[in-house]
Amino acid sequence: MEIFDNLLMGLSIAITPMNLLYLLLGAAIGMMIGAIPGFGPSAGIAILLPVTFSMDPISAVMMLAAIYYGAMYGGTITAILLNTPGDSTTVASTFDGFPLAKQGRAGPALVMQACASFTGGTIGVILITLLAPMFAMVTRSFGPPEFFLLCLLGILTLVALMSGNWILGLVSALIGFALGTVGVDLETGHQRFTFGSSELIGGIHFIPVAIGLFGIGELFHAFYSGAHKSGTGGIVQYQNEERFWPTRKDFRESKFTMPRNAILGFCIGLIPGAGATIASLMAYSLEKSLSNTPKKFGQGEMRGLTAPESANNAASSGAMVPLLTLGIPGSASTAVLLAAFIMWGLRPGPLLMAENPEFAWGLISSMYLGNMALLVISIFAIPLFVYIIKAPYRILAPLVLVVCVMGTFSVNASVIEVFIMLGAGVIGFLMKRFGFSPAAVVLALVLGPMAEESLRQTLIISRGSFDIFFLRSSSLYIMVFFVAVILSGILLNAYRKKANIQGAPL
Amino acid sequence: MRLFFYLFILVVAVCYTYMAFVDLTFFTNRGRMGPGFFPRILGVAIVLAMLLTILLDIKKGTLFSGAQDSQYQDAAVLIGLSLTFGVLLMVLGYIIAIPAYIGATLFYFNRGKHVTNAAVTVAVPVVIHFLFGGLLNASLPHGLWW
Repeated sequence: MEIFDNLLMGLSIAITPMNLLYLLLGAAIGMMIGAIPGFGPSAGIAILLPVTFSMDPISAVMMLAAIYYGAMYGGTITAILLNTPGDSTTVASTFDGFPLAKQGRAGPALVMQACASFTGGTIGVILITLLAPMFAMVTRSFGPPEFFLLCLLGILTLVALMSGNWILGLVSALIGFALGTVGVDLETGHQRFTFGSSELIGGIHFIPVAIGLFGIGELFHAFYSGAHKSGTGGIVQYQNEERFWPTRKDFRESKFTMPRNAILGFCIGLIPGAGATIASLMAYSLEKSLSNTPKKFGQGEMRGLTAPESANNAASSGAMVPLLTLGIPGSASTAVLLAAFIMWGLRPGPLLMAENPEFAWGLISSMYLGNMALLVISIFAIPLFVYIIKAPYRILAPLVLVVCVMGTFSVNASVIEVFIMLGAGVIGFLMKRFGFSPAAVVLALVLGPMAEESLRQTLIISRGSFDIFFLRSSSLYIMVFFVAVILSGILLNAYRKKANIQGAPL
Repeated sequence: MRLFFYLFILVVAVCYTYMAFVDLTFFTNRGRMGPGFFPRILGVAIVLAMLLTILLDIKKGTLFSGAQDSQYQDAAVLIGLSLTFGVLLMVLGYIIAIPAYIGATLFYFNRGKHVTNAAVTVAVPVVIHFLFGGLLNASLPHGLWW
């Protein structure tokens, strides 16, 4: 009953004309970003973060969250019409989405993916509503030792679940931690690695690094891989099809597919680092194994499209649970969201729901509204997104770079930060090129200072002894959970290798 | 290219570690974690991990792959133009730097589409001015001489 009251309170906060406007704007921008191949939600949120500075914190976070889950909807449009996934999370949607489009069923495929995304997203938010308060209750007794372990857990699980070279993932995380040590040491007042620069006394700001690594690095990498040369000649002209809407048979076939894969996706999303890509691929495999006609999969089977779509949207909701209740981001996108929360003075964690219920429940309630808005937008604004897909990358790229530069400058009116962003862009490009993990850098940059502060407090409490981590039951539980996550990471990597699929570009 | 990037990270990590050992103390006078506690551990860990990476790549024979990669050309041009844009922004301000950057980028990558290029070159600074300067009331870089 308390959950219901909190949800109503959240809705009363979320439903204001300005909040709804920002929510719709975020959902539409998220879809557009998702529809541009190569740009994921993390790049979208990072690029638009500075634009939200003049807003009220709740409106801003609602808008950024809408960009996050809106991008999940948008990525499938290119997967269906162009056989090019907008992001790694929609790779599985190309397996049956594009064959459906080639059969002259692009319209029904686009509508069904919107319905599956809506089902996955909404079931995901219902599960957040039910589980987040319970998680928060359990974690309320956590102290500095547990927070230190959680910070390590967030980073190391990401590294453990990396599909490529885990040593490079570890180096990436260490670089992020090292960047987090720049600035004044809060306990002793000693300047660290500032080289006498007043701009570095406060440390390296998260925003230029995140925009550089995700936004600019992605642009440079797209030019390296030749995305600016390819046209959109292969796009399916769905406007000429006889039937735009799906048949009753399409809905009947997918009536159990969508909810069961939403639950699967949500559970995968709860594991830090696992993410929506793994969820969508596992959902595809699950649906194929349950089907009486598995041979139809890969040749235009509607369930082969709705299963991954439902799962990846639910997974993006699942990833919000550790973010909101533990303050631990499990993916690049939620790391950028965490930075946004911190920027507005909100520290996600066990106490968020108790200390800032308006914010927490306002955000959760807005996700119900956002999913409804996205269902409508993703069906009726398809022609607009097709128009965006047709815009050549070589024209979009300089425009995105200008927005990134102006956005970064507008935060602190600092030209140094513009150069930090451009430098991070070059580093991000090379990191992506050689198998490092820009996401681990960003996560560690956010979590590093928190980890250092927590460890300091822990050692003060324990008078310098590390035994405290083994004497507190909650610390022990976290360490057991940590081992379980590492083991699940090993199993997931084995699954990836068995299925011969690329992992999420974490 | 891979070798250069690895060496770049290694050199920066060595410098970071050196500074952490020379300038920062491991413990404070009261025996608590000093400013160098984390940096020393991190620095040593990065150096060791990079050395291990380089050794493993030498063993696999992948360290020198991609050195002659011609795909870098377009990315390098975009990086060069973008860094020049940063300098122009600082010196001349956004009114000149944005159209100069967009014009040059489109001239190189979108050859022959003069009307489209001209329209985008003119429209973007106007939209940026109204979006950031007007709607969001954000500060814009005006350069050194304006």
